[in-house]
Amino acid sequence: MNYYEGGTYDIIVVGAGHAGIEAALAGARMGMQTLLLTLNLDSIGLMPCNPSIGGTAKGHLVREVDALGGQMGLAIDQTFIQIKMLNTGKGPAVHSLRAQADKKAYQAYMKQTLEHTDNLEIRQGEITALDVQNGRIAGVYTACGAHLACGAVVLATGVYLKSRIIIGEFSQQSGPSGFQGANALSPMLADLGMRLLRFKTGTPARVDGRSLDFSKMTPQYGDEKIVPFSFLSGRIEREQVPCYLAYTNEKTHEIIRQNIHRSPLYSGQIKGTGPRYCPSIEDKVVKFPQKERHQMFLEPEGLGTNEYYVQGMSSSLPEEVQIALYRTVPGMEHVRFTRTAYAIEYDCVDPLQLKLNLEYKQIAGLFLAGQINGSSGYEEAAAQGILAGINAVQFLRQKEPLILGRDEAYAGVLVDDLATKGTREPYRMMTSRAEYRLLLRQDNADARLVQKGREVGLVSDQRYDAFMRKQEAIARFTDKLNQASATPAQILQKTGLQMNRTMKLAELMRRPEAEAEQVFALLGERPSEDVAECIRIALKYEGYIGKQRAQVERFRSLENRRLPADFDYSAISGLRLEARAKLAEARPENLGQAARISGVSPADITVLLVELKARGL
Amino acid sequence: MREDTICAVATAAGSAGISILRLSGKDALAVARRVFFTGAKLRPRYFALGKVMDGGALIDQALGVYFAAPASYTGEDVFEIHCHGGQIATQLTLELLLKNGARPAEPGEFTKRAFLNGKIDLSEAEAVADHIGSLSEEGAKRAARQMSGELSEKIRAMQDALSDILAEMEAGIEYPEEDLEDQIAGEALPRLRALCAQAEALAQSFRQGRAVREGIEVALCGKPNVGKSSLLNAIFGEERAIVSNIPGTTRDIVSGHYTHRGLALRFLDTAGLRQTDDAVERMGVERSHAAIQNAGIAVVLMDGSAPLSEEDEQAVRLAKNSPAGMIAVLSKSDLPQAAGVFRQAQELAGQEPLCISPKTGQGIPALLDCIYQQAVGSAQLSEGLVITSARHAHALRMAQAALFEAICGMERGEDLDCITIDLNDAWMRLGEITGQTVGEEIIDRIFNKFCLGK
Repeated sequence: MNYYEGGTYDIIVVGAGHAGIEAALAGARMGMQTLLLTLNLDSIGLMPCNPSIGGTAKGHLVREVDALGGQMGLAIDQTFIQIKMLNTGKGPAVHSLRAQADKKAYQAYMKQTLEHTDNLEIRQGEITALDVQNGRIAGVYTACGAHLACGAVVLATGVYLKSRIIIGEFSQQSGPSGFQGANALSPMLADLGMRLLRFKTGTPARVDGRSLDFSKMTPQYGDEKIVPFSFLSGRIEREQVPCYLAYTNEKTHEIIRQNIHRSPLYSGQIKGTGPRYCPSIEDKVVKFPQKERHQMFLEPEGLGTNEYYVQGMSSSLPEEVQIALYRTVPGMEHVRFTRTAYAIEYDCVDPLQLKLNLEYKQIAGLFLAGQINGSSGYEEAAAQGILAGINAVQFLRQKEPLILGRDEAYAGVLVDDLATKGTREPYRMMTSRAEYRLLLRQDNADARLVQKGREVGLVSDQRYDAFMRKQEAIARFTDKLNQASATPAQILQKTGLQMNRTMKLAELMRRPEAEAEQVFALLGERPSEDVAECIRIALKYEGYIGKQRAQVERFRSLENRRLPADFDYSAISGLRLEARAKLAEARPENLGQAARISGVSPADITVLLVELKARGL
Repeated sequence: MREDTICAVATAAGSAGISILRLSGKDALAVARRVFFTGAKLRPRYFALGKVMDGGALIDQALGVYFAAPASYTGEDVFEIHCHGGQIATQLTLELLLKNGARPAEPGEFTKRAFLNGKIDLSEAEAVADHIGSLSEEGAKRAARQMSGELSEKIRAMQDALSDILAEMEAGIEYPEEDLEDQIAGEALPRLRALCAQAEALAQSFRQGRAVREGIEVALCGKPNVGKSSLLNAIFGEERAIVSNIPGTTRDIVSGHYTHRGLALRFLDTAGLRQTDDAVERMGVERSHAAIQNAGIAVVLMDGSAPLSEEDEQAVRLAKNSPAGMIAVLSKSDLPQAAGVFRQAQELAGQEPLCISPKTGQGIPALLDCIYQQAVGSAQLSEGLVITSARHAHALRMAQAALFEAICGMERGEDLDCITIDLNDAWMRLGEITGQTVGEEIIDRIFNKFCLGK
């Protein structure tokens, strides 16, 4: 094919899902001429699965993307129709925001944002090949015959690579929601030497709200006091809509058991690896036969539609079986499907081939982000997207990449897990993946990351000023609490607590029985909600935070030992053969990362430590 | 291969028939050839008879054997000289080797090289170190057992139980909207308390483990002239301590090794515990105090032929206040016993005293058995798992401390995500023993145990 020269860019981002959006915005906002290519301009910011953003650990990721200067938090704050802080009955590490999105409004907001960003062009088109010159990316080729030159590429193609949807015995080549898939790119990536994986995921049916009897379900409301995702959103007051809780029963399970042989997963038609945390209803029934009922949530897809998403009921059984089993659920006896549940299989890239800056090890300037890296979830995609975008710019500017440590951000845990340990199933973020989660809270994401976003040039003046004001307020109020004291009589009067001596207010706040609100009343001055929350957590959880910091110090001792890029592992006599091979392939950047590679034992790490010492490194 | 060639006597010091000198390193063969002369051709793994010569002087007739790298214990070139002579010939040969280009090996350096050259892994290296350090058969058996992984199994079982608890807590945290009550195995607190107790028991066994490996110190104490030195002599069957009937004869600490049922015992004969004006004797008494403080077991001797005195009481009190385990003994059972002395001693010591006679030997085997049992615990010596590595004991103590913190936190009503900090800490401490790090493990368990997800 003869290609015409279609233009020259600094960065080309392929895919306008949640990863592609953040990557493109980061590139453009950092001053790079950026092109965002997508198969379909109407699928920008599409949520092909659940109509919600956030949740445990995912909510943390949204806050982190926001702190670095990303868009996801602002977008959901503008378009949520219900919002809730989860886990408030548990400790501060696991408080997580979750919002129901108006899907169409979210997409429209994102498209508009992209359209109004300087240095950014958006364009519909399919990439069929990469232009690689001497191990370095030089451009892309489109299906319509354009050669587009660039210095860096971010591939954020989502689940579109050779995707196939499966509903019972029916299957067809297709992207999610009936959108066109991309069939040319992944064979081409394989030709370039990339190791591909085949993953599988699924989505439940959408149903017509008019066919549901909500009186037989339990309504679930949002929080009265709204805490927004973005540190920039300020106060939000908005009418919210409820979700509804319903349950399966023995009849549902009976139908599934009778038809399990027609499930493509059990008949062997699907070979891809599915995520354990997102099991289909048939999986749940087969794996947990003793459980008498499984719960589901009916979530509105938006304000302008009657469609409801049935969270918990994803399935790849034949359509007639799906309808029958949905109709066993109280409140869904007469349910009408608008869209059938399906499983989807797709190609992704084994993320072990990535460096910690999300760059493909073998081709300089080629970055990968989102589901193509074997992750799952809008938030996981956005976090990788913003980092890939930033690092593409850093690459072009020949500056140090932005690599977040496991002790600095969930985004850091995410990238390190993918690039170091790899994944055998679509990877979902969980708070238990973060060893130091009490330090990686959603309330302090700004304190952890705004400065880093500022240093690379992505955080705007407006965001930075707001951040500095908040930090100053925290410091000022903490000082005041450390200086002001209260007598037992004053304490009794304001808090009802019996103390036997005069004490500093900070000390009083540390006591589990003292309410932060009352201590600020004793001070006679009250900071804003977010500042009060940061101070409360820092004081109340001082002991445990200290413990985590001590753990981080132990962790850092290995993490700070850089391994030379040209280290010849085959020449280190003490290493076991398996470890030599694994290390030579993975080329870890430091000893800590080396220790997390599967197949590298603690004894191997000891050998490396000795070797580094022997070489005076 | 490491640069320098190291050398050491590989067999235990003492009066064995053969002692082995081992050389390891690049020049092992060259150094050996300067010292060991043989008419036979040196082939790897074949013994050659030869002579150790210092210039023209014959030092010993010896066997030499060469192991070519990497097929040797350390993975380097190794040469061994098996000397026939006693201590003196061995010592001279060693000096000769050092003069000819080898340097003395640091303690454990052969094992370290074996480890660095990939011949053995870390836990094996530790077990080998224990093996070498163990003075007695029981210690050697135990070291061998550790290599076989019995300890790893035990620790893994504890990690398993802990993983279950963590998975239950994490599932609740990750999936706040699910109802998980019916899938929880039971209250976490009693299960954590049981784990904490297990960690403590294992950590405790280190003391016993050390007894097995290094032997144990047994301090003989009591007022002057109660028969401590006689007892020592009776055990060893030779005149080790100076015995006289003049009280205060033992002014210094006399000691001796004795192996009973495979357990190495080091007996310390302490000076009689009494107030004295004699400066030298007082020094001896002070040393005795120190010895009792440091001993694993204090045997308190009381004179059964006379009513107990204030000095006896003092001796018992001193032993009771020391970390050592105490064994109360009524000595001189060959003489007529004072009226009510047995019950008196029993009340004083809080245990039934053993009656012995150093003179006739009566009761001494029973005393040795009693020491043995105190040192290593009765039934568990042959069967039970005992910690012998200080690193393992430390890791277990840290795990126990973390579990204890978690238990306290739960009792105070702290948040679950805070509790998991301590539990993860405990898990990782246990992992230091088995070489595992926390990671997928807990997450795998969450999904195997719970029905979760959208």
